[in-house]
Amino acid sequence: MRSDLWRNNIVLLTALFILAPVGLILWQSFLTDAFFSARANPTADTYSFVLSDPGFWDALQNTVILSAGMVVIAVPLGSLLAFLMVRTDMPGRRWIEPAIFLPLFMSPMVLAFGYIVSIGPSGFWSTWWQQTFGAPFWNVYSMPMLVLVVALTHVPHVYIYVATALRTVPSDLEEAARVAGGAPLTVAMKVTLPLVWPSIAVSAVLVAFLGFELFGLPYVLGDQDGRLVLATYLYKFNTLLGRPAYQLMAVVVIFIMLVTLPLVMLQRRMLRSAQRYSTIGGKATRSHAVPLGPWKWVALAGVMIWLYAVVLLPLSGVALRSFVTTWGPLVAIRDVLTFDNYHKLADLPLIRRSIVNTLLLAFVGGFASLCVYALIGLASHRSQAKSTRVLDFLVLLPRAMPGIVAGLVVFWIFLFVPFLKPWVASLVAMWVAYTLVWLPFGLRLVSNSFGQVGRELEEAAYVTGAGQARVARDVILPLAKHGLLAAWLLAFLLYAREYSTGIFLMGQGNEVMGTMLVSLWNGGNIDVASSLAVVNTLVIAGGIALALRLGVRLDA
Amino acid sequence: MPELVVENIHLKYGAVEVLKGASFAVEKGQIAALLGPSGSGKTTLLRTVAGLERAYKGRVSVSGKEVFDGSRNLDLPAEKRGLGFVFQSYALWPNRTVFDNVAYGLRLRKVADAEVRRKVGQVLEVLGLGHLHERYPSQLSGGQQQRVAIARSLAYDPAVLLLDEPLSNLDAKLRDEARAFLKELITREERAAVIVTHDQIEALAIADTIVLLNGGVIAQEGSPEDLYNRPTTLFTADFIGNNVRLAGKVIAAGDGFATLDCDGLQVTGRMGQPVTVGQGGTAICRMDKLGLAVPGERDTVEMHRTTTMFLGEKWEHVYRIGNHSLRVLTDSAVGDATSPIRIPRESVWIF
Repeated sequence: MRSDLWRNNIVLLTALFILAPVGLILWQSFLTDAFFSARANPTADTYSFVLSDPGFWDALQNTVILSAGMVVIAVPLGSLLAFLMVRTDMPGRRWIEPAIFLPLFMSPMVLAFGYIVSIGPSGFWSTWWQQTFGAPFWNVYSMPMLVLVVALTHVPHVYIYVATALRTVPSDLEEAARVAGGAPLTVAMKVTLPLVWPSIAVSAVLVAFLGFELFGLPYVLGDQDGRLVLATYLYKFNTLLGRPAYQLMAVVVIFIMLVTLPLVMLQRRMLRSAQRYSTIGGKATRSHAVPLGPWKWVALAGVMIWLYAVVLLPLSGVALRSFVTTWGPLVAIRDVLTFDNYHKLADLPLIRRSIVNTLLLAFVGGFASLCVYALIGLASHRSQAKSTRVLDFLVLLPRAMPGIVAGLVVFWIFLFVPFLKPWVASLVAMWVAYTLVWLPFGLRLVSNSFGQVGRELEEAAYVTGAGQARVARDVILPLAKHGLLAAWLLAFLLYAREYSTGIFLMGQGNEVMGTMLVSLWNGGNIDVASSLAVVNTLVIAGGIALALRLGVRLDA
Repeated sequence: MPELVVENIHLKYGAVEVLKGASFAVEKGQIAALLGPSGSGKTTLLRTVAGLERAYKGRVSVSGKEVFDGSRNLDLPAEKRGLGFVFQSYALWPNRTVFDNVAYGLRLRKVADAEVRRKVGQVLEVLGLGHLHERYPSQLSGGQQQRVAIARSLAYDPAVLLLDEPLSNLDAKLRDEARAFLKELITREERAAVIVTHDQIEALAIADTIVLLNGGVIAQEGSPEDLYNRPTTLFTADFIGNNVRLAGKVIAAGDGFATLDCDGLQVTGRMGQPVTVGQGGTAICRMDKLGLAVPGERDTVEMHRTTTMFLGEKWEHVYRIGNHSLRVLTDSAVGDATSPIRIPRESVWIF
């Protein structure tokens, strides 16, 4: 009889890896003090403390507004963008496509810096506007601005889902409606839109969920007025009471997950029915573009304005800022031009180390995480066992955990488990947190590429005499090679971008670019932050370029 | 002792019982065909024998060694059963050359390199693939791929060879050649082979024994001649051959023959099982045995012609009487609008 022992063991370890953090949060939320403290007693007062704090309700309200604003703005725009890109003859689609992915992989910290230095109170654009037209009408730190920024930067998330769905709609369905007398716009509304509704709905839930995870943008753009969202409210508890108030943080985490977990479960359910819905086309047929006539230039202009707002505006700001020593209304650019900010990257050991660490974590750590995901993926591959179905459900938990929370819990676990304690401020702890955060995503990528290996190819190896390990080594892994390579590249991009997961784990020696950006911002060190942001963006752009070169799909 | 013995296999997918007690045995050098309509469980049965599906009851033994016994909870995994399996899709590993595909089983068995080269070379030579060692599967034609798949399953000398619709992916002309080749090869190599097919012509041509499955149970098992000429169930009679099915009432029975009245059309045929006058019955008539008769001949029915089609080699006509229509083939054109149609009693079975 085939032994399922190793499968069960791996599932068990994975379950432990997922459940230990969640259990620890739950336990901590019912204690009067940090769980490792001798003075910690069981209590439920922590909940009433948080619930009676007006700051919590403010943060919750802000989060809901942000999340709702994202849905209201990003979903229609993303769907429209997808329609324009997939279904119409809008010019320039070929080179717009990669540009759409840039905001997806760019660090929100970089974007946030970019907006501050471009359209902030003494930003490049603001100063220019001031000199030309008078006082600017916007305030980058205002709530409407924050909603607009987070909504526009999340348009690509919607785009990915809707564009994928649109590609499966055979264009003969549209053509049939056209022949029957429908004008292009009518056809789009009456035929195409209903077919992709499920995907639009899924993306709406995703965006709402991402709204609850937001950290970087509200931290930089909202914090000046003390406007908090749940994630930044959580972060405040680290220093607010003089020392970290772990029990209160745990309660906030519970509240965040009470919202995100149902959203994740809802999304999973909807995704399944959406997939059933979208298989109608079966084979991808050659799609015929809907002619837009002169409107195509209007469409292009709209897309360009959006791209300018989410890519060029913040990036040009950061890039420009990284080459000047200071900036303000009365400064002439040629007086302040400098390369110093880049020299500092190499001169300051802390910064230099953060760059090296990021590359190490993204490249080697990404590969190590991929190995972990591949092992878990192999354990659940073609398995009908109950344990693997449980696993399928368990991975929803880390999915519902914002990065900053996962980092916090991994930090706790390293504090708590005696033999892990020496590693608490090391890259190892960082890697564990990253691996936990990206487990659901990585596992999905890996399982998908394993699933594409023909079942009979594996069975042929079994009947020829190969055991499970040999089948994995000789058939599954070699044939899934391309998918695994793509997963590694995506892990590289995500790890290089990651900033919130490492916040609580950062210590002497394990700095990464993302967390470094946060602490440089905290310290007001804009010069170095800008040049580091440029380097971070270049690393990510390099990864994207490589991915496109290798034909890796970035919208996985 | 047969090389392969399969006894009383029961298998469920969830709550659905797919196999309900299938049994058969194959001797060395013989070919058994698992035949049946889609959904009858023939591929599932083959996969159960290979260890790719798990039965909950029954017994399988290969060369006298038990590999599955539901009552003793014995279930050797596929890799320990030492069988050869040819998949419908051929399942050639696209990342390996022909040589490496075929050599895989030997390498798993830690055979020395020189011996691997000799053995693989020999098998590829036998299958007429001697010049293709370094090719990749995607560079081969369908027929060549099929032979590589067979070579791969033969290379490590399994006593039993299982083939899942091995000919269905070949075009019609190639299929006839491959069929003859396969039969000759298995007899010469002295393996016991089980071949799954939905094509009765293929089964009749290639098999020494046909196991006809219907809904997870064996409808009839026997030599091709048995199944064709001596069907014991209505399902067998109807499934084998190209038939006309008529329902009616028994008006005469005796001497091994019975006569059925089907709304004015009377047919006489062999009793597949004993029937008595007055009960309902079904007649299965081999379509290719229908023909035009001269008036006064026995086993004839007067019918009129409604359509004629020219098929090249033959003419096909549709003859009607009442609600019944029969398709009749002739070698030449027919002028008369009405003629007696012969339904010979030797080619009709009454159930």
